[in-house]
Amino acid sequence: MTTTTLVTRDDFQMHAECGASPLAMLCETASDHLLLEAVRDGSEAAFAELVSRYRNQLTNYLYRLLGDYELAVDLSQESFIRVYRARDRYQSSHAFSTYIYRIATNLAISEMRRRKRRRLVSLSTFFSSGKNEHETSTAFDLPDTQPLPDANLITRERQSAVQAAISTLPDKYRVPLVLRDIEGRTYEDIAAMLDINIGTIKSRISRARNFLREKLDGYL
Amino acid sequence: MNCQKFKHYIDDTEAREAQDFDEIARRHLAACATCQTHFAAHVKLRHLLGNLEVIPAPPDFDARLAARLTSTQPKRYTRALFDSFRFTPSLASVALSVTFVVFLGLILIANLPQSDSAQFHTNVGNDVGSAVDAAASRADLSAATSPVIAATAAPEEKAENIKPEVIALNAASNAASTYKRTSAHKRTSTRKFAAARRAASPLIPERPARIETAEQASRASVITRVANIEANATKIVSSNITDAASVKRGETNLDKELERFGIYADVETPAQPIAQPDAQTVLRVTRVRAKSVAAQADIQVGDRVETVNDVPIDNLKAADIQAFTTSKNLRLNLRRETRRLEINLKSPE
Repeated sequence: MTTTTLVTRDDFQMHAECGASPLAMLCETASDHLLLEAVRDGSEAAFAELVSRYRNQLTNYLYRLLGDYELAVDLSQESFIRVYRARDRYQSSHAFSTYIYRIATNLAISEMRRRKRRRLVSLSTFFSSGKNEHETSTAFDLPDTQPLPDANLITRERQSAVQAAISTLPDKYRVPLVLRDIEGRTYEDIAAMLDINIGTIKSRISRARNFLREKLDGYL
Repeated sequence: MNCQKFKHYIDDTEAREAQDFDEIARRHLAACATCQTHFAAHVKLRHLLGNLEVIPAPPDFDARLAARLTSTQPKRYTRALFDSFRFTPSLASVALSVTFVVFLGLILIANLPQSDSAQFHTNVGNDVGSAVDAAASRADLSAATSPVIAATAAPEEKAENIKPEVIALNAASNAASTYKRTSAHKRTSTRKFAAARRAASPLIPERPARIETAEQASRASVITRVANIEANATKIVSSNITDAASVKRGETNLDKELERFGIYADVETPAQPIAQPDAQTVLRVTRVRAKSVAAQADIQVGDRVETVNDVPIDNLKAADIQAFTTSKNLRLNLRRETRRLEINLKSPE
């Protein structure tokens, strides 16, 4: 029977540092499966390493899907919590990245459906138009008085337009497009995550690209 | 290759450079301005999407995650409980199979036909029990006057005056009452009732022939008819018993009154009460005293007295017979073979 160890905040931070100890070196070189085995045996350091590997990817992915940074962070953490709670049930038939992306995708789809039902508009999204995506976490930034270079301005505007265009995509097109063209996942991975065959995935991605080409005509 | 195929081709190959295409696609691209525009937009879009700024997790991501993990840590015993009952496909199939088998078993038990004997006794027991009660109610039998109860109360002193059917009916009534009193003793009561029923077999018709499954729809009505016949028999017998038991002794006021006019009679009850539900209890004249008023009125041995002073013998209750008052005249309705006679007798005094 596996032992369950409570993860304390201090322990978590300590191991998250992954310093120069032999355990930390093991953390950096071990595969995801090995780390999860260690998590199953009660190693908080292994779990911290998994978190450090995927926290940015997941947050970025969820942000691109939802367009809401705080919600993306929240769901990203929820994904890790679910991985931790279900560590005993994890089956290594798929890559861990596929597993955690699938959890995150399901959470995001649930959230999108919920928002569709309630027609929710987050305040951070509402006030973030025309700003850098990263700044959406701070909804009420003071205006930057320093003059921005034109290149930066154009890039930010373009990225905002792309994000806005992605947000208008139907859910079933948005998820595979983000996974393929932003996250760079393979068709096989996407098919496994969404439990849809590859042909359908390709078809949906193609439609999403056509849709985006029309939306972003002025930027292409 | 046409333009449509080329669009599919660039989606399938995911190539971003023209030199990655095969020869046919390269030639089409070189020749088709529309596809060149489309391909350029395609490459730009892929580039735009692929070069979007990566949004990092906030610096306090780990701390917040640790806090959430600590605060939402499920209790150990809860985890252990659910881990031990982890739902797997095999467990689901076993649970489904067990549920199905139990359900099937319940259906079979519910549809299992009761044994013919048990069902018959159960139904008839209920019906006859009700019939006995109803008959007793109709006959207005009180505890003091009912020969059924009297037979129970003092069997040793009145046994010689009680007919066998009285005893049989008494036993059947007791068994039916016991049967109705408690369902916990259902089998015992049914057995007792069956024994009593066997004792009363001349009065109660034999059990009907077995009805096949195809006729089960009419089974209830058959049993009801049998119960009705039994109820009629019970009514007749109880009525006869009520009067006859007292009249027969020859010591009642009615007997003395008849003797005063020179008539000696005995009670005659229908031989087959079930076959003749309308038959009445009468007084059959057994002897006529010579030179008496009755002899002068040509009353003969064998005549059957149906009414006395317009009151049918069949309706006379023990109390009425016992309390029969002397009257100056006696009006009798007689049946002599097929003829009916009305005779008025004057008191000899």
